[in-house]
Amino acid sequence: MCQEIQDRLVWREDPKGAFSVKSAYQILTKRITIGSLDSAYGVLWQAKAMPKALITAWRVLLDRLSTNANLIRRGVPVDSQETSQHLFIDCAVAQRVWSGCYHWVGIVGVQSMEIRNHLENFYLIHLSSKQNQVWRGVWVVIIRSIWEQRNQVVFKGGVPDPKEILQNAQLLSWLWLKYKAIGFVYTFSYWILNPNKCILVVL
Amino acid sequence: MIVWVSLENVCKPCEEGGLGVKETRNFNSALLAKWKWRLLSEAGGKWKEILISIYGSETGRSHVGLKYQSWWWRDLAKVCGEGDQEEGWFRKDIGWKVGDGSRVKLWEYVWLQSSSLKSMFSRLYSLSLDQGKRVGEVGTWEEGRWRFQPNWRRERFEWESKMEK
Repeated sequence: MCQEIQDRLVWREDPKGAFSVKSAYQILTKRITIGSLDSAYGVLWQAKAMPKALITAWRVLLDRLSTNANLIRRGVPVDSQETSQHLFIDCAVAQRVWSGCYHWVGIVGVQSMEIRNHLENFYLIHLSSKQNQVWRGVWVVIIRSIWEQRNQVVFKGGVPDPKEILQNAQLLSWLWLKYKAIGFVYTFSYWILNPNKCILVVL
Repeated sequence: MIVWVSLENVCKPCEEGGLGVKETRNFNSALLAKWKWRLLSEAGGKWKEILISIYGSETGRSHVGLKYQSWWWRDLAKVCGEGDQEEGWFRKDIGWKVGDGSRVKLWEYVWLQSSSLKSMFSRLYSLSLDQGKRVGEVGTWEEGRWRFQPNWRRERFEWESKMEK
């Protein structure tokens, strides 16, 4: 008891006893306990790429893209059992795209792995975390580029071309950097020849 | 059309695989709760006086009954509970810090533990003559020190007075 101060209402979720709409919303949606935190999503949303490509990559991580395997699960009659894991990582075409991408920045050795780990391991040690967000944007646009080419082949015919997939991704990431990254003044051909130097411009 | 990601998942935070879209129903409740919080916690002000003169009391209960109140007021009561009740997510998360004891009801409000004394010691509550009284009314100040003086319907049995301590 204390005569000088008035009785005060306290919000028990908050250490200082102050109410906030945020904490009330968290109680209502029961998010106060961190349960299904998946680091891959955090990594994904920090990546620098256009929303269209990010959403495609998000659906890949959730495995909610309309791959044949997913269509079959939903009762759509298609003939092959193509999964996301196969399409984006394990398939020979995808393997060539990824090794081409690593070769582009001067690294060798890519191993096939689970798609989330593939994203999380997609970083370059000499880069800062901001620069790696740009680099992971390349991962995201490669996913998008693979998906676009896959749709092209499925609906219009033809054969998948790893070189074309990579080039398209390089173009997408160059366009994004050109319009979004301050100080990025390089031409497309310079981006193709010196990606490492270009990324260093991002601070 | 095939729905690929459920609304429930879309509404999860981004780090958990959702898109961080607000669940509007819950968010609305949280916003309403802020009104309730301000009504209960703030000392005064014209806005509060006006509301109390319209609706009767800050706790939500009124002399005419909720049925005839505005939708907003009824929603407040629905989302955050009325009167001294302890049930519901909002009521469970508020407590009191006693100062001069002029507002906190000794038995009915949550202030000592994580629930009210009334619900913790219902037997003692039924014997108490201090039901509905404020903490500051159950005792006196003697030379700057607080002396707690509860009143009972009858002398307590030995085991009952042990519980009091």
